[in-house]
Amino acid sequence: MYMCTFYDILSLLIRIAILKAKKNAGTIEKRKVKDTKVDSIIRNTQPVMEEHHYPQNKILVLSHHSHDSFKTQLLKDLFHCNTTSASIVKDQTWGNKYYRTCVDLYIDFFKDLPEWIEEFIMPECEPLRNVVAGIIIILDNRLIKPQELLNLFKGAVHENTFIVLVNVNEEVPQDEIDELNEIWSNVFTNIVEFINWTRSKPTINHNEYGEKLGLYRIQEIIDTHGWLNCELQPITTTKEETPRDMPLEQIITNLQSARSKYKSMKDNSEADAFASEVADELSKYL
Amino acid sequence: MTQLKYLILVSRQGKIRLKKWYTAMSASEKAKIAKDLTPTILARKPKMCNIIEYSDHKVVYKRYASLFFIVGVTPDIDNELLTLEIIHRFVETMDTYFGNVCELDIIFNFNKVYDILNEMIMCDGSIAESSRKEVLHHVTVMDTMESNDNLERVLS
Amino acid sequence: MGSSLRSFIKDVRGAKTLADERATITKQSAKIRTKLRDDHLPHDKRRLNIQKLLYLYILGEKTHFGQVESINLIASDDFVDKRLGYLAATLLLDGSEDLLTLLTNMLNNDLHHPNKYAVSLALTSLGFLSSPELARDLYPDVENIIKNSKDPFLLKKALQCAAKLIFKDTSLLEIFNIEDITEILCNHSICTHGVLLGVTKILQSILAIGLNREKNDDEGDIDYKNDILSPLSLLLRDFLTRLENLNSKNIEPGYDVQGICDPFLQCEMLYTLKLYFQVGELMDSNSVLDYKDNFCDLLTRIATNTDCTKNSGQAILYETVKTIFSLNLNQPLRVLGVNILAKFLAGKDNNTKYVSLNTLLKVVPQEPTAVQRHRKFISHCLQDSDISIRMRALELSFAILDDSNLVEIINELMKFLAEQDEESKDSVVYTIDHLIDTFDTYVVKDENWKLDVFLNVLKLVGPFINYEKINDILIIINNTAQLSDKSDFLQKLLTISLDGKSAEISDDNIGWQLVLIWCIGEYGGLISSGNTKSNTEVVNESSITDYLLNLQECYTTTNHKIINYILTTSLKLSVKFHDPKNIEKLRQLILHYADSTDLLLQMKSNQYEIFFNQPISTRKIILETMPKFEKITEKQNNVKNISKNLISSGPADLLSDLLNDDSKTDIKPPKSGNVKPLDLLEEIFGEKKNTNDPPKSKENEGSVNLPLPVSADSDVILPPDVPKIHDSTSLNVYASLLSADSGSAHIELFFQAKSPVFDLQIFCAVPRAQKLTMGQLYPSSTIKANQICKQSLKISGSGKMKLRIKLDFHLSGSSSAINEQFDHKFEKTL
Repeated sequence: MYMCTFYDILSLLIRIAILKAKKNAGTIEKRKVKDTKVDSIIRNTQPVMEEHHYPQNKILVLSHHSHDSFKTQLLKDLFHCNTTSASIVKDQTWGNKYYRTCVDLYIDFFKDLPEWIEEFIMPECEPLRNVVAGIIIILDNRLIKPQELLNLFKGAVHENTFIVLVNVNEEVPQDEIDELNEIWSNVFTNIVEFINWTRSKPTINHNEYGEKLGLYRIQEIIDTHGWLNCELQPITTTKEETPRDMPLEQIITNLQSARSKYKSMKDNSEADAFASEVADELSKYL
Repeated sequence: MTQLKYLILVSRQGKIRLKKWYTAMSASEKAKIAKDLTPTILARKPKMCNIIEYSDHKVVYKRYASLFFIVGVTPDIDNELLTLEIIHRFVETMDTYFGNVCELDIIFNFNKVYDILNEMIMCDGSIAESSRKEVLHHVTVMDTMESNDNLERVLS
Repeated sequence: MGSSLRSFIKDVRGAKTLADERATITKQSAKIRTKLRDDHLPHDKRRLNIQKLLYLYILGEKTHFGQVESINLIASDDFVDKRLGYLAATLLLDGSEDLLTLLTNMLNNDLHHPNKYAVSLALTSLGFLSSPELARDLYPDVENIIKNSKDPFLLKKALQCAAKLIFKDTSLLEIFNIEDITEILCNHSICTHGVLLGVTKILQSILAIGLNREKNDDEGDIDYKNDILSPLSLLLRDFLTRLENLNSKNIEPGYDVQGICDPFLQCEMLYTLKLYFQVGELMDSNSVLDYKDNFCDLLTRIATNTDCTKNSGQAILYETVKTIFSLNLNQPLRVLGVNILAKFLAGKDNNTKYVSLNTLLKVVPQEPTAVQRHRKFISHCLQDSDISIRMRALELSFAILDDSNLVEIINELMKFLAEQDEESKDSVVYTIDHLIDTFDTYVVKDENWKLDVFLNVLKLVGPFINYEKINDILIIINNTAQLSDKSDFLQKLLTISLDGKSAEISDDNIGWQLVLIWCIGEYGGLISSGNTKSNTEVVNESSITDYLLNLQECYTTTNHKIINYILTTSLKLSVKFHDPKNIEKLRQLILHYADSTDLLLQMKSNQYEIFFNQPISTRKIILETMPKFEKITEKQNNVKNISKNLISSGPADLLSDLLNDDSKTDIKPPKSGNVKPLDLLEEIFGEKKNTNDPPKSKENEGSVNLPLPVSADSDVILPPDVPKIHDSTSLNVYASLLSADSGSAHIELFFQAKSPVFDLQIFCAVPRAQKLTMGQLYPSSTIKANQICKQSLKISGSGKMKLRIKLDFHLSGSSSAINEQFDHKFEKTL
């Protein structure tokens, strides 16, 4: 019976191999990613806590009432969150090709931004500040001089909290935003970044330095944030998706040696396990 | 002649994403260099030249997307214009390997980035291979060999 | 507090207390350490932990505990382990001998591994980690690959690695066989660009050893010139051809960079060739030098044919120029080189501008007129938005400055100064320093123009000028020959300051005020006496007096330096002004400080008051216009120090006293009330004795005769006790080690001509582990008999301090150049 299984697998493999050789191209079956756990853990190169829940996963999103529509769209585009009213949206999934993480969105508005910030930096808010991964503020750079506010933040927020100031006034040129970034990039150890978000020109997502703009940049900031509660994606890099090279003769040789080894094995269950392992491994090259 | 002293990749926010030293230096010297250079280079305006003087040597840097590639070079030996080409080659090679490389790719595949770099630059920071194709070929073959390990182990 | 914030806080209240990132990392690091200690940890987990460790390495955490573990991974049969193990070892190992010994065996095994990628990993790692011990132990294994492998992939790495090993242990040169290289170059199928890069590397390494070797020093048993350089020179023809082909190749896919074929390889080859000829010249090897003409031809072709519009082509051109000048090749090539650099300057790219300016600065001494020809482009760079470009253009402007272009360049610099702001303080200070030096060095016929320059400087950047430089400016004004030029100058200053439109001069322009006050004291008499074409409505005794009073009020608490100047000027005016009302005002001004809390001011006030009451005739003698000064300061600080020591009292003090430098006056103990007037007189006006010291100064037409240590003809003075290091029929050479500590040394060489020497060129070489920066030959490359010129050298690096010095020069009446070469060892070690 075991013998039969092995030869079934072998003949199937050989047929596949010949078919492949005839067509001389392409894959027959998409290889299913096996043992993704090991794979992904290897990729888990961030100093990550796998076991315990690390709570610094809140993203604050705020705007003035007059910019509610921007906020709604930003929440939708970035987080696929259709909320318009709720002030807390829990367990939103944030993911990319490397990992998946869970964030809580705290959505707020302000009448007067300095006032809001003053409240936010009060001692009572410390527990909140400690768990905020990032703050996204939607504003009009022409109405609020954001640079004056930044000093208020200084020292109050946790050092790995990112602060993104999204300007939605289309009259503000990118140069002005770039200049603000130049000025402020060195003042904080935090990530503080000014971003221009022009809804009318959503196609421009890179500047001349290949740098992402607008929402794409916010996405990148969130992506590259050192999330401590992320779960790695069962991913393969581009390279691994391409079929691997092993000449047909090599496969046949390997099969032959596998067969003789199989024959020599005494323990049936062990031999069976061996057969399926060989099949698994070799199928990767087909 | 290329005799790079070090290569450091820093994000726009000043986070170090990769570093490789080609000359012997004490840990404190290394730390000082990284600490000094990051703010200096982040503060440079886009139109400024990409070569600065630092301590007893020069530093050539180039920004690609959200990353700064910072390379320390040996004065009078290195050719600063060529250093810029080396950085560019390196980025191009990564671009092909990852398919439009971004900061995230580098964070999660830093060992691959080292693999590519080590195929290009050897010893005391000297360029060992100028062909992108050649570098990629060998890195990819080695990647394949890693996954062949299982098979070989099973077969042995 | 907003309701949302409240609800947010409520929401997080349940969360655990947050440890900061630091603690998390420490915890993570401790966890990795524990895991790695576990012998039963499966391989995949082991790799995972090493990966995490490498991530921590990038973050700058301590990772030494992973060193042994990474070596263990190398020993694994699995390629995936080996690859990661080598990566970790090259990153984490810090050259500690024990661990490298541990590594030797593994490397040895892997260098013979059946899998070429295992071999390649071993080669790469050996290249990074090689110590002299590893080099000795493993060189045969690497050489084995060079001799036997036909795989370009392994060959290129083995060559790179061997280059490093030979450099680490130069005795390996004895084993190294040049024929291995010849064979590789002959075998077309394995001679890829990568392999050629490896070949250039190994040649560079061997040649660099030759360059560091002392000619007559028997290091080891090798006769470098005959055993190494001669066989090595057999490759030259092949090398030249290869480079030429490479350069003229249009497109080779895979190696193309913006239309240039493999600029990396081209530059490496150029550099290698440069080393060839450097060593060839050093050892006087005809087998190399015979190719020099061919090389010059090739360089000319590269310089003419390479596309200079793209960075890749510019890189090659830049390398070519560096080669031309470091070999000091023939004049047409040097001019070609300068022209290439000028083309870079004319372009838009700031990086090429930067390297161009830097290089031009270095080659000015070799090709001054060719560089001067491109003054326009250099001046243009003074307006660049990039400060590093501006700064270099500034340095270069001064470097090319001479009698022929002095006026134009200084006018450009005035434009430059006008555009500077607070942020570019360094470049302003630099400009002022060098302007002053320039006027000290060059004779400017149009002194009126010279004073105008300083007027502008004061107006534009007065706030940035430090007191020492103000003194220098005052000396220059004082030494101006024509009294009328000086009073015109004061007239202009006063017109600007008194006109009511003085918004141009800000309150913090102390420089301007000090110069103005001093000039009023010196030349105020000329103006009030109506000797000048002054606008008496604006500028007259009363307005000047009022102006001083205003200034005094304005700075009374903020700047005592100014008050000091005002007091002295008031005293000086007491004999120059005519209107008693004004004179009384000035006396009151002085009296005002009689009880000042500032002791120095108080003292001055009291002393001046006493003096004020002396008969006018006595005062006039003392308060005469200043005589001409000879400035003692020299460009080279060290001479300055020496001179200062030699004349520690007397003239130097006189100078500072007259110029009101209170740093000197400060030292004097403040005297209180009951001091005899006469003593005081002598004390404050110590200058009286000197200015009126008739025998000497009269003879010298009023100039103060400073006791210069060596005859006044010579600008450069040979300091006492400087050892002679070379003595030939034409020259004596002395070397003075000014400082040597912590990896850097400052040396001055003095060249004393026995008979007139022309076009002296000095070439110096230091051991490989050191770097040499040469200053400019001062004062010139032509030395009259018995005169001295000086060359300063800065050496950084480590090891024994050895100098090899080569001199090229002409003697009068002979057109052929004379070469002299000699070595000198210093006792100090860096």
